Amino acid sequence: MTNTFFKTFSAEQYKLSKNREIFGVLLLPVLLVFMVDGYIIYKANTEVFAESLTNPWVVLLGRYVFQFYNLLYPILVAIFVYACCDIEYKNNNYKILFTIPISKTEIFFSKALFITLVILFSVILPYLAFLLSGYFLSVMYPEIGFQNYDYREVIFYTFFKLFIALSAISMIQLSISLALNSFIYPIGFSMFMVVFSIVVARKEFSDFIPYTGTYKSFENILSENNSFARLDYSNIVMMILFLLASYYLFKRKRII
Amino acid sequence: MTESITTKNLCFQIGSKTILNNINLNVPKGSIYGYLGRNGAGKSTTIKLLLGLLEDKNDHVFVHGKSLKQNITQIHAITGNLIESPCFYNKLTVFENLKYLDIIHKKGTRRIEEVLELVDLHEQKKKKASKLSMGMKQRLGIAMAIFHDPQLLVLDEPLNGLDPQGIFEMRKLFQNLNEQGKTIFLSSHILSELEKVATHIGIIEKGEMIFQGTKNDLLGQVERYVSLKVNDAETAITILSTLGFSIQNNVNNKISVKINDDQQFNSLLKSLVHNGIEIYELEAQNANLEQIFINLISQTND
Repeated sequence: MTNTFFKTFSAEQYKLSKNREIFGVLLLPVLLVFMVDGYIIYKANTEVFAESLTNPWVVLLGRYVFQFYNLLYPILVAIFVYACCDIEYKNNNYKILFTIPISKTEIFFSKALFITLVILFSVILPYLAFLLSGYFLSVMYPEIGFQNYDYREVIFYTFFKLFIALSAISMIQLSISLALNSFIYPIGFSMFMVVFSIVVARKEFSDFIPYTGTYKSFENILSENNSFARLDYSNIVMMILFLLASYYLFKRKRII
Repeated sequence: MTESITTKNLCFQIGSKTILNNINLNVPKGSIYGYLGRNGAGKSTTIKLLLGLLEDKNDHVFVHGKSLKQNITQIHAITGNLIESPCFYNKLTVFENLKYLDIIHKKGTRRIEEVLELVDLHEQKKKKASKLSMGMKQRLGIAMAIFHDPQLLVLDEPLNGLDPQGIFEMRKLFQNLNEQGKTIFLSSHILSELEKVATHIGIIEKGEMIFQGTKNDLLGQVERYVSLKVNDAETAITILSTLGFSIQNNVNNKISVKINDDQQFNSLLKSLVHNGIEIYELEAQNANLEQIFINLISQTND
């Protein structure tokens, strides 16, 4: 079983990693950190900073990066997950998938694992870029004051909770992409949810909407909040629920 | 066990519409089984059921004596398929598509090269699958079907999009695979090609089997005629009628005579020559698969 699963995972990884969309979800968040770095460097060279007046991890780096992440990440995840499903819709490739000597269960879970791992890396890479940027700026531009704050714990938890939220979003998107062979619905739904989650972010029920996770990451970094809240537990439950829903949809897929 | 595929009263419905009704397939091991039927007769549905792509709720499909439903993974390991249109991953190259299968089947890079040679795609191996011509895509589909050296090949319209040279090469490939002991279940609209390769034939019409047997059984069911061009058709007709031959037509000194066996053919020639009739042309009018297929279908629908 383990051997077959590893084989299936390797095959899925080989096939899905040829998708260009994977580079979008892996590299764009890192690129955004570097773009904000560029802005900070530009500002440092043109303006005088009031030394140590405010925490630059928050007001310079975190604020801009997470504002972008709030709008960008759910859509990137939706596009990536859609691409992972679309590869099977094209040429009706489910016929290949369902006639290889591997059970549907193993195929599905290797796909889901691949998606989760890519999202994990897509969070780890900007996390490292974020930390490195801060250290680089503290060395190159000590007047900004990055070295005056130890913000590592907050950064870690913010990215960790962002990963949980994105995992839940990815499983919702997986269900939609498996149910509907269309680009419009999954991407449109994700875009709508980004806007909707900003509108309802302050409502109490918003904790049950994983798409608010990216907005709340932005709030977390601003308020230095590193505690686990209801939203995070709810996202874990949502991730499991939609993983099972996706499994059900995958299992009952038929070739007509 | 001498049967590669067996179905026992296989039925399939979509809603209230019956697509297949009591199909009893018997595909002998080592045969090339041509599965014929008009569009919408139920060929593709049968094939999808044979591969487990559609669910046979009542467990009526058996491959190498084993229930498909209960041994689907094992059966997929010994089965290759190409259904309707070739399946491959557009974003992968020809080689990468086979490499993907190699990760699953563990046959090695040498096997990839071997299969590429077999389907004549070696020179295109670095090309993106989406950039291939229609015929090449079909070859890639066949390459993917035979990659893991399956015992049973289920091919639905494998000759679609191939040029005459490609059709010839594929026919040779199927014959070679068959000589190696592989069973090939083949559905095609190109009946002349099917006639050349098939050892067994099954004909389906409106979801029901109307014929199943060897190709010779099928071809033997119909009457044989010989066409003769002679110097004096009227005299020839008189002579042959006296001898009890049945003559079909007489156009431009050409007559068509029904014969039952080789002895009768021999006596036909002898009597004409003996009576001074000169024979300029002689042509055996064997019924071909296409004619038989059309006759059977129209008989069923009458």
